[in-house]
Amino acid sequence: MPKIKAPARSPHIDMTPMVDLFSLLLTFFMLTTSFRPQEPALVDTPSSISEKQAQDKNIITIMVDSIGRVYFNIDNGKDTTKHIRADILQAMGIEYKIKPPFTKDELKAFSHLGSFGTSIDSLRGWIAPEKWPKSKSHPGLYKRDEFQKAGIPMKDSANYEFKYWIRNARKYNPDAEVAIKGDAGTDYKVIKKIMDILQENNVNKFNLITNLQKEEVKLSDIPTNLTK
Amino acid sequence: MAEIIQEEKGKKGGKRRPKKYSTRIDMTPMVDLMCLLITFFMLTTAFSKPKVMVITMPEKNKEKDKENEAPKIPKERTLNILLTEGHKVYYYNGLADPKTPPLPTLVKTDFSKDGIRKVLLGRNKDLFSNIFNFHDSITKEKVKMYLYIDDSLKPVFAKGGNKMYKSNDKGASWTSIPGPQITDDDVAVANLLLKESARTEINVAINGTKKRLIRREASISEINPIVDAETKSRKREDMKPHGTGPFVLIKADDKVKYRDIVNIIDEMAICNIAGYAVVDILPIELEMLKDAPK
Repeated sequence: MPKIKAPARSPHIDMTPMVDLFSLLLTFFMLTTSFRPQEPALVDTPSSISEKQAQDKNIITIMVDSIGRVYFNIDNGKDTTKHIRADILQAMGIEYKIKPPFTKDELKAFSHLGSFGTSIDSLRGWIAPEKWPKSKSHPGLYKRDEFQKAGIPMKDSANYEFKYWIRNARKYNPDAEVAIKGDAGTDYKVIKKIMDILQENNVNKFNLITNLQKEEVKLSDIPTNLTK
Repeated sequence: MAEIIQEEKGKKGGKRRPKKYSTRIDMTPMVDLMCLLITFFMLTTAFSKPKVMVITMPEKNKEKDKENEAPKIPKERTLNILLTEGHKVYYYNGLADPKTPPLPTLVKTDFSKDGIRKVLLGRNKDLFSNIFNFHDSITKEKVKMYLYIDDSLKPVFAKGGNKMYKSNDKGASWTSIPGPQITDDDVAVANLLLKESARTEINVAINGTKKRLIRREASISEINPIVDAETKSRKREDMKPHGTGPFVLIKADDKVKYRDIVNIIDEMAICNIAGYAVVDILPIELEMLKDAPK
């Protein structure tokens, strides 16, 4: 009996549908993506039942990490012709008599960057760490993180930079909402201080950034006999 | 040299045949690349925007004139919550005034479900059940059996302990309703909801006496504009009797963590507390905390 031969099949698999699917997914992700912003510190936010979403434009974000360091961020606003960040930095430079004044390149670089937590004296280093002069104690190249080890100074009243950042931010973008992203473990008095400064600048509405955690009460949860 | 040989070969072979290529393209490298890109985008995408909890702080009066003075809260409605280190929560009712001893005693509680939430819900019971019932009736698309009572009847109802009777549709025989007694709040809600024009009458007996009550069923689409108009036309003073919820003052000392503050404000949202504020702690309250049960 002759052997029945199975028809020879090519070992190749047709990849075309897979490519179709992948390109679809890729297009979807590329169009919907908004990159997670790089953050200077790890902040573990407390949870609440609020489902309101934070604005993504026109917002001043103040970040407080677990040991109370304060970081500040403001975006350039909805109007793309304005350079709010650059304006604020320039005003701060003049206020603190930074010498030499911030150059155009520095202002431009600053307006594309995000959250920062450094004193105004070393802000130039934060903007362009590779241009910061080397010293004997630090012979290598600087990194951005090395400039924000202390956060924005707001502890002693003589050097109250945070206050001026807020004031200038309010001046150049009065419509911006204020969001506070505080670590759950940070001291309330730091947040309180921030709120006080904001209230001095006529901000009375705060958005506290939290994680969503659902919780509900029903009528049956209400205690029937009240014990005081 | 090789070329020459090839040419010669070609000439020898006569007809020149182009080499046949397969029409298929190997897609594997393309798939690899796409896989990589998709992974990259998936990992870097921030899909969910951060959630925020909005809190509005009372405006600080910069000039200390009388017009800017903070609004006064009745003592009976005030519930003070004191927060201190170690996630401890204390509360007391009323006012702590060193001039008028004895000072109220602090009660210790915690952030658990049976802790501060029970206290808040207990204090907010009337308001909360009103809200809940109203929502419930709205979701059922019909607000049923709201009673409208003439102003002249209000005092009779306010005394409480009234039995209510309802006539059937023929209006002749009396049937008793085992249901709830009419309270002031019912009257208020009924007043709020009903339009003068659309009423049907039923007869009700209160303490044995026949009174005329007006009853109707209103659907949700009718109610919303009425409520809006009514609440707008009402003055603040008129609203006062219905505001049966507490006013919560949240006070924190210096050692409190941020988590506790967010937690307590969140509890306000969970328990539907209408009035609350985060205020500075008083010196007398710091003293009270020292003597508080640990």
